[in-house]
Amino acid sequence: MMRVQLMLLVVTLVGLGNLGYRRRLAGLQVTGDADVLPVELRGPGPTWVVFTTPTCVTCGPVVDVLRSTESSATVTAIDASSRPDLSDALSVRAAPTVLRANADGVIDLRLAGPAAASEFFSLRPV
Amino acid sequence: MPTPIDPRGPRFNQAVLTVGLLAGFVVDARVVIPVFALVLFAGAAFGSDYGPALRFFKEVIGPRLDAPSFLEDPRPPRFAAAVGVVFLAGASVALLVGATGLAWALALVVAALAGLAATTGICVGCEIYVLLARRSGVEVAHR
Repeated sequence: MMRVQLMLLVVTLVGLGNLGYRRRLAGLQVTGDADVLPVELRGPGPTWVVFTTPTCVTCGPVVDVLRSTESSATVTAIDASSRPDLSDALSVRAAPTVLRANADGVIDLRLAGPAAASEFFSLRPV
Repeated sequence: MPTPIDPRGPRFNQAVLTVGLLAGFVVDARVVIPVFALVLFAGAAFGSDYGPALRFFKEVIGPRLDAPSFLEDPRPPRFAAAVGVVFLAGASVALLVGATGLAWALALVVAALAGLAATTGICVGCEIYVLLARRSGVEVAHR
């Protein structure tokens, strides 16, 4: 009986980990207006910034989709490994990380990781 | 840079590990500890073709699923598996010397972390690898 209880404890801990993960994921997808793009990244209007890595499989398609569908916006792709200063400043922890900012540079959308980006842009599987 | 892999393979492996270790614990089947130590060792040391669960996913399950929406660097999950091997090897030694409680404690830590990785993708061993790799200048394509 003790073993079953311990097993259930482990399962519960995993479940709690899941719950925390889901909440964190929800927080990663949309930010409040506290984050602001550095001036060097801002375009004249809406700006999309995609942080990539050289081996990120999802990053290229995301940049391509943005460049083809957001012709009126500034779309910038940044290799996160070559700009750790920007990556740290904008809390980039996954590739791709997609940021959307308004003309004032206020970030109103953040997509962290391939799953979030694929879902948002309805990318087909690689 | 090694060939990227379908991330669902390691997650299936982690799910099998979790279920196997928890089931073994409930029925006190101590043999699952060294068995899964060997299973993890095979995949971590020689690659996914040699890990039974990884091979099963690759040959049987993977082809029946849609293509993955992204691929991942295989080195972090292999490192995580190696960490699991260390824990389960320690647990096996504990079994041999009669420290059954310690053995199961180590095995349950592995089961919990593998369960978390299988259900959320949060892989503690992978994150450790990424941290170590960054410090040593190795580039990792991670999520």
